[in-house]
Amino acid sequence: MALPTIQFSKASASVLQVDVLIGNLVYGYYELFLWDRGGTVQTKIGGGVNNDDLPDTIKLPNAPATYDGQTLQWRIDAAPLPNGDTTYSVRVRVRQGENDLPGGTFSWGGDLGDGKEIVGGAVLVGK
Amino acid sequence: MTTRTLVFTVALAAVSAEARGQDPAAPPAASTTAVAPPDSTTSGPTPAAIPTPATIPTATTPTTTVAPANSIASGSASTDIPMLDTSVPDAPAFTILGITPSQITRPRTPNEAGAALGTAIGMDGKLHAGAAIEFAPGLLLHAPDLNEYQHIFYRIIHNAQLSLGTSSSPISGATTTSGASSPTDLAIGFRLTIYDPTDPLLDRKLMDAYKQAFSGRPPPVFPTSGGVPADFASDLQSKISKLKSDAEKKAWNATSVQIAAAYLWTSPDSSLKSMSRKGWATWLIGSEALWGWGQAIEVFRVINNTSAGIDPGTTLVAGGRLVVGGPRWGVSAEAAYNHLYAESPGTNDGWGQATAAVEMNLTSSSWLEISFGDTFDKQGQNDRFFSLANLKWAIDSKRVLLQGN
Repeated sequence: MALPTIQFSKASASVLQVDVLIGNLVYGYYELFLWDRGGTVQTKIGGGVNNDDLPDTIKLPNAPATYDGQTLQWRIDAAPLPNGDTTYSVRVRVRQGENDLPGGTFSWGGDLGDGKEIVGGAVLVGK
Repeated sequence: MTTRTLVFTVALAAVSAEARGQDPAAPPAASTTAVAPPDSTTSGPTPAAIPTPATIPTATTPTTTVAPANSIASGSASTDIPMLDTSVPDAPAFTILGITPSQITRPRTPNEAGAALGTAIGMDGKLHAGAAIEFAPGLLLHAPDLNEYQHIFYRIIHNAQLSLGTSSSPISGATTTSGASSPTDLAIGFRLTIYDPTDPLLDRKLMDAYKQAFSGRPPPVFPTSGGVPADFASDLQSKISKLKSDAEKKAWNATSVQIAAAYLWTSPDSSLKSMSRKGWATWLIGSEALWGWGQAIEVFRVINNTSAGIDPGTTLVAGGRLVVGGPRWGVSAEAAYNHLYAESPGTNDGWGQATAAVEMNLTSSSWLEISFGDTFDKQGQNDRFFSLANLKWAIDSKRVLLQGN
């Protein structure tokens, strides 16, 4: 399966941002990484717990053009809570400023079972 | 979430009447109405058509006897065992309307709330049947993060829920003023969990333990796709399962307090200006942990319906249940007083009910329940408390004796 691509503007001054939302009454844990263009160096850029109905936002602080060709990776865990929900919903949304980027929204959901982990990523492509 | 129950009644219908000592010529004992609380249903961007309204709980059919909150009773005889409904409806507006919406709109912003309200009340001031809206007003203005949620002020804001629903009026006697519009009912409900220590998000130690389970893992290898949900690795799965089950066992008999209320109007021509009161209802449910061995539950419920078909009036239910047991079993005894304050004084009635029950955990998702009980001193019903007809057993996917499970 090929990696999806997320298109952004290299010329824009607005920084790239990643929203992570792990919904429903589940325990949500996430980590975000960046891989260099060659896919050899991995850097953790954020992570935490998202149990509420608000997305956590991680900014990519450098000029957008510096991320061209890099791969954004996420590892998201949704775990069942005592007396919690039996379904989960997860959304990753990559924005530039306030604008959603083409190809930049990913969402998953369904039965939680004993817990679900989503490991995925997308290539950031500057135009 | 819907859970299913298999209900098997010991008494056959044919046997039941005789065993209860009823005169076949006498009017049937006032039946009780099984009201399944509206399930949480799929959220949808727009409300869909609501199924034909079910019978509104009326004064003559008090909801004293209710199928267990997480059950679907099958067979009419099964509702002969009066058990207190210890649940507060998720959406009181839908409950008093007697509807179970197939889709509920849950706005998250003021704009979405405005749009949702527009589906219930048109610009022409007319009510539109089929709206089902549920939201937390406080969240429209500010959604608390986890740290804020652990503060009681934000938690109350987060947990206060409003519900609003409309449906075509099922009252057959209703007339239209213009002949062009049909009668429509509008209900607004309110629900608040005042105290619930079983909320896992409030348990800082538990949250830390969960976080610990995910910490310190090696980073993932280079991705090959956008991501496909996969089950946890077995070691992580067992850690989480243990945390979850330990917490559930610890909180099996937790203390909690919940209140709810609803108000119901009807409009013969669906216009706001023609609305008149049709009924109201209020629920107050409390439960207290009795150390490690039990739980006491108190129920107070009043339902008023001035437009009930036969004998409009108000029904009151006040009762309690004592449960002794543990995480995997329970024995309960309960009693309640019911009163019908009918608008026709001749049909006023007051009666009691008492039930004893046992429940045992069979597997992770099945519970055996055996209950025995009946009503007494009820008009039109001969008392025959100690009868085999008053015995029932059932298999349920969740335990039903405790509050908050």
